[in-house]
Parts: sequence; C-alpha cells; structure tokens
Amino acid sequence: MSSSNDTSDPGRLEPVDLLIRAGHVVTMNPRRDIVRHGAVAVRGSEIVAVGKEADLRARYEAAATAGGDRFVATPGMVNSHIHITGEPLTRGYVPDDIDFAENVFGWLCPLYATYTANDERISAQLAATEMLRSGTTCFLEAGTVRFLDDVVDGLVEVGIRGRVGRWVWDLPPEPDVYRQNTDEAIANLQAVLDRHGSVAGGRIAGHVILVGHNTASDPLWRAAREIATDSGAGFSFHMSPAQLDPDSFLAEFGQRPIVHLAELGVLDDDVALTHCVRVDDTEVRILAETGASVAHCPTTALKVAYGVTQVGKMPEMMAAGVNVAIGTDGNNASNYSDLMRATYLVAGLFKDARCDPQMFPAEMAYEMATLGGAGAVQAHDQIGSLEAGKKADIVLHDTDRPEWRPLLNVMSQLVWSADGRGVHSVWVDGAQVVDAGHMTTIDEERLWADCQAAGEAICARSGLPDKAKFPMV
Amino acid sequence: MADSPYPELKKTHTMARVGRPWTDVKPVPSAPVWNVIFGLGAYWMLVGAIELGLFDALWEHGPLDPGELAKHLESSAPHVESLADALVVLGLLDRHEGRFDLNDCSRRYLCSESPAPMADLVAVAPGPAENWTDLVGTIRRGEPARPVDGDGAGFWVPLVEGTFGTVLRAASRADAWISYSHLNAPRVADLGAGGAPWSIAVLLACPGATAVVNDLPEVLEVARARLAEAGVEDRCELRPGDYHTVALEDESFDLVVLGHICRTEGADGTRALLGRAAAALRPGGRVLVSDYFRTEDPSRSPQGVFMAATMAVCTVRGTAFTYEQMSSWLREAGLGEVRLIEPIAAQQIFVATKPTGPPESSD
Repeated sequence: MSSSNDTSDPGRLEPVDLLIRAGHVVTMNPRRDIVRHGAVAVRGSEIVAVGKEADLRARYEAAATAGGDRFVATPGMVNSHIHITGEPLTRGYVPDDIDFAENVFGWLCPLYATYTANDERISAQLAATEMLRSGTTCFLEAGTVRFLDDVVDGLVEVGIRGRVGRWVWDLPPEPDVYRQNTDEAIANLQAVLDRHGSVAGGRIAGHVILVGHNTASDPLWRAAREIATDSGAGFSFHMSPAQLDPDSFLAEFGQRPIVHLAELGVLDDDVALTHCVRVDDTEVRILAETGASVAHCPTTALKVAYGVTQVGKMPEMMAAGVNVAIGTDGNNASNYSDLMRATYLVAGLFKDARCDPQMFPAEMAYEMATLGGAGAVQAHDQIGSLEAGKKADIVLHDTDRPEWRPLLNVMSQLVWSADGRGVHSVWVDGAQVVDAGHMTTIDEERLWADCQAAGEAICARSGLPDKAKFPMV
Repeated sequence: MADSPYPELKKTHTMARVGRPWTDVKPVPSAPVWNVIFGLGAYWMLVGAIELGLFDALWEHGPLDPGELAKHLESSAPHVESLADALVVLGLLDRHEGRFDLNDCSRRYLCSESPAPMADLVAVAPGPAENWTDLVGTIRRGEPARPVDGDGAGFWVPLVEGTFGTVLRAASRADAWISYSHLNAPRVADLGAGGAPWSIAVLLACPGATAVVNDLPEVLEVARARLAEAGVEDRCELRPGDYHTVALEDESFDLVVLGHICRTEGADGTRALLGRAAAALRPGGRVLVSDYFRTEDPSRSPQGVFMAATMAVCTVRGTAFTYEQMSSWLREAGLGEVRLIEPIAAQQIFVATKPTGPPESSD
C-alpha cells in the first residue's frame, strides 16, 4: 500500500513537501483500501506514499502538514463531460420545459455564439471553481470552446487539471461563428494539439474532440481518428442522447451511429462517447469490444427528458465491461457541476428503474467518478486513485458537518449523504487550490461579480427572452 | 439508367475537404426567389381578404363552399375561390371537401372577434406602399422621399389604432414577468404612447396608479378615446408634444414606457430618450423599452431585420437596434438589472431598473 524509493540510511527521515492527514483515506487502489488514521505523502506534484499516518511520520519529514482526523481523503474526481463555456454564465436561463431540438438549436447554440473571449475565460474559471470546490480535480471538456487561448489561460490561473478542445464540426452551416468546412475542421483539431498539447506541465492538455452527433462528415470522423492515433491524445464526442442521432444515421447510412463509426474505424480504447442513451444491444457490444468509454450524464438525461431510465443501457454496458464514467454536462442541462451529486444519481437511477437494489452500489458509482473518469481521459496511470507515483490530486472532505455524522460507512456517506459542499481542501499536482472551502488561486468575490455582470449581458444581447415563470417584483 | 445530372447529396461520397458540400454538388433550389416573387401577392391577398370580410364571414357562418362564400362577400365566385385557395397555401385557411374554413391561426388573429386580433395591423404595419415602390430611390438618396415621421394624422393614427390590441395584450401579459400590479399606486410616464395600451394595462391592474400620457396631439385623441373606453381617463394626464422635449419631472415615475418609439429615433435620439427615462425614474423604478430588436447575425432575427428595412423606407432615421446596443445603452444611462422579456410572441421588451443607491454594508 505504501511505497518509497528511498535507499538512504536507516533512521534518516526522507524529506517530502507535504503530509496530508485524514481519519479515512479512500485510496481507490486496486484493493480499494480505506486507511484509518492515514496520510498521503507528497513531493512536488506526485504522491510518494499512502499509508497509516504513524508509519509515514516514521519515514518522512514533511515540510508542511495539512488535514487531520476529522477529514476523509479521496482522490480528486474526474468529470468526464462538461461544457465549461457557453453555459456556466447563462446557467438556468434556458427553460426546463422544452424538447431536445428547441433546447439545442433554439437556445443553446445562440447562447454559446453570444459569448466573447473574455466571457469564455471567466466562464471556464467559474466552472473550474465549482468543480474544484466540490472535489473534482480533472475534467474532459465537451469540445464546445470557441476562444481556446483565453480559456486555457483562465484554467491555468485557477489550477485545475483538464483536457480541452475547440468547437469542431463540418456540416451545420450555422451559427455563423462556428461554420467550418472539412479542411478547416481538421486544421482546428490539429491546432488544438499544436498550441495546447501540454500546458502547465501537462495539467491542461489538448484532446481530439468533435461536437459529434450528426455534425461531422465521414472524412472528418476519419481524420479525427488519425490525429488521435498519431498524437496519442484521447478522442471524445457526443452521441445518441436522444433519438435524433440514431434516426439521422439510419436515414443516411442505414446503420445506427456506433455501428457506422465502428465501420469507419473511429472507435478504439482512447474514445469517450458522451451520453449513449439511445443505443441498442449491438452498439453496447461494439463499445465493449473496442474498449471505448461512455460518459454518462444523469442530470442532463433527467432535465432534458432523454429517457435514460426507460431505455438507457448503462447496466448492460457495465456488465459488458464498458468503462462508464460520469459527467455533469452543461449548466442548462444540469445546472450544477458538482460531480458528487451526479454520482448520487448514478447510484440511484437504475436501482429504481429496474426495481433492483443491486444496481450501481455506492462503491461502483464512486469508481465511475474516479477511476472511470481517469480512464475516459486516458490518464488512468496518473489520476483516479491515491497511490504512490500518481499525481497528487487530493480532496479532503470535512466530516464535522451534519450530513457526514455519524460516520459509519465512508463509501455510503460519500455517495448517498455528502455532496461537494463538504469539500474542505483540494490539491492538484500537489498545489493547494482550495482551502477551508475557498479558492486559493483566484479572487472569488471578483469572479462572482464578473460572472453576474457577464451573464446578464450575454442574456440581454442574445435576443433570447427571460422565460422565468414567476413574476419579479 | 442514365446518370442524374445532379447526383444526390451523400455525405459519404461527396464530402470534399474544401467548400460547402451542399452547394458544390448540385444547384441550390430557386424556392427563395419564388417565395419573394409570390410574396407581393401574398401580402395583398391577406389585405384584400380582410377588407372583403372573408375571415369574418367564415367566423359568422362556419365552413362555406366558394359560391356561398362569394355570396356573403358579394363578389365573384371564381375570384373568391382563387383568393381563398391562396390563403390555404399561406396557412391562413383550411379547405376540406371543397369548403373553406378558418384554421387555428386565422381564428385567433384575423377575425374582428378574434381573441388576439391582428387584422387592423396588416394594412398599416409595412408603411405606405408608395414608399416601397420607391425603395431604390430611398437607398440611393439615403432617405425616403416621403417620410412618415411627422404625419400624425395620416400615418401614426391608423398605425396606433392597428397595433393597439397586440400591444395591449403584450402589456397586460408583461405583468407575469415584471409584476407591476404589485406596485403601490405607481406613476407611469408613457412616452409616444399611441393609443396608450401600456398605461391602460398598468392602470387597470393597479387601482391607485396614475399616468402621464404623451404623443403628438392628433395621436393623443386615439389615446383619449381608448383611455375613456377602459374607464381610466380620470387617472391620466395627457401631455401633447415631442417626447424629446415634453416636460417630465425628475425622479417622479415608477415606470417609464418607451413603446415602439426608439426605432424611429436613430442611435443618438434613442440614447437621449433613455437618458430622459433614467432621469424621470424614481430609484427602483423601471424603464420598459418595447421594440423589434435584431442580432448581428441577420438569420437569427428576421423580424428585427425586416423591421429595420421597413423603418428605413418609411422614416428619416429609422432602424432596428441590436440587443447588444440596447442593453449597453441602458447601462450607459445608469440603469441596471437589464432583462429581456417576451410576454407574447414577437413582442419583446427590455426592462431595466434605476439603482436605489449603494447597497448597505454587510459588516
């Protein structure tokens, strides 16, 4: 469980930068050990050892210590699908009683297109802040960023880990600001990797991301596959949240989407498909055979009425061996970006839908939020668990809170009781970014004010009216 | 079988890596051109049907065959059938088993007794026909030969009469968003009020409300009649004159309404009006700017774009402003909490609030 490469004199303490102490350390290591009265030793950006606090104190001399017995330490969660621009600053403005097509084409596309470069920068910072403060240390962007330079700059300042891409498609002719032909789309994919392949020591990195659905030509799908293979970066896109995608592929190709993409050679173990609510058994089998991951976004399915509990095959995907991770999606489909709340839904939805309490136990849901997400972003060797040699992306949950007491079963509490508001401290790459529930890297008060002003301005100039149903006195 | 001269569009084999596939492969349809050609006739057919009383006849008598309909309209049966068939194509009538009938759209909007009448609006909304036939001249000169700006009796009176019902519905429904009915005896300034639909909506909702109603003298006669019909004339003060110069007391009003007037005023005139409104509002009071706005991308706001063209051929400074312009001008005028509401379809209103002063310290 604990390890060290130390070969120096016995009795001499090895220096580390930080010792993080916790009453429970939820390691998510291969045995899923939970260490009582444990600690995590950190040097630089990496975890040196995980074990009993007393053992680590006997072996390491820490320049600083943090935490204490009232905390539960966990690996940072991985949000496998989130739109960090386009929606955080217009959170909740889109009505919750419209269908998928009106939601996407009538509201979301125009709102996204209204964001300026600075809007996208602070939107990304707001999303990153919400994620970090609720225990998510890494995310996979949905591929709907327009001003990536500004977004990456903002993310580096906040200190989160992320995989990002630009808005890339080649078929829809509008909104005008997103119009691209196939050559331009391919160039945009390559440019993301060329400009942002590895930023801030690899904390922010470009990913091969298409908008997906039915918005890409076959040449673009194939080119994206080639770029992902050549670069080693992961590959992600939306697919089949609603019936529109299968209907479209069946009409065009006589094949369901995942069958068609498999035939094109697009699918592999570096691919993460988002949603996959409307898939059939053949598509599930293909996902398992190719090793692709699926980003399950339960909050979106609920709010936009995808029917995930009626037709979703997430239990069958898990049974087939598909890596199913969890995402929170956009802030109009899921107003929050707290992955703990989404994990709660993952644990519960199919228990009820199938009348089967053995569906998605808390432990499985938490694996999906950590190790599953790490796999979806192609970083399973770096993040997702607290183990020596992995990145020091660590979260402390404060258990001196009503929802955490009494603490008798830590995994049950993490999934069924707690949410992100109990997160006290967060480290990414060994650097503390949240302390006592607040960001250490940016001025929160200024961010709130900037976001409020920008959000009101975006809504006002979008031409989309306020559809709130209760009057404002 | 011979090859088609224009192969079918298939993403799989036509998606070149350059250019737009849907224009590279086969010619675009000519439908947009035909739609415009038929557009002239479509407009005049609707105007004619309203003038003939076609919709009202169907409202009163139910489904009618062409002969019966022509008899009620005292017109030629073949011509009535031709007109009514065209209205079917336009989505304004149904025809089943040879008989014409109102559909949901014409029943709601185009009859005298419709719950949301728009029939009076149709003839006047595009402006004078002769201004359109001089479109090329207007574009070359940069202004219309016969602007309607000062033509109170000839243009504005019929226009405000035609738009009254639609704006009154919007104003009444706006209470669901901005809750003016909860205000305690609010004072309203209604600039360029037309038939005063906004004042009437607020005064009917608030028993203690009072209003200053402004417009050109001849237009105010329409307002006077409408206010009397609503039974609220005793709570209104009519102030005739130009809304740029009419007297307005500072910090005296809870609501200042700029209803469909900014689009005739140009950018400078509109900013001046917003400044007047801000000065006239009490702290916490709200300005309501009702108009047709547009986005930078014309395809997203056809109504605003067409209104801009209509204003350009009818008025000296007329245009439609972008949402970005209006929202930023409201803030420049010192107003905040800018919202855009749409109480009924196509009727949008910017709402902005005069600050009440710096917030109290939370220390």
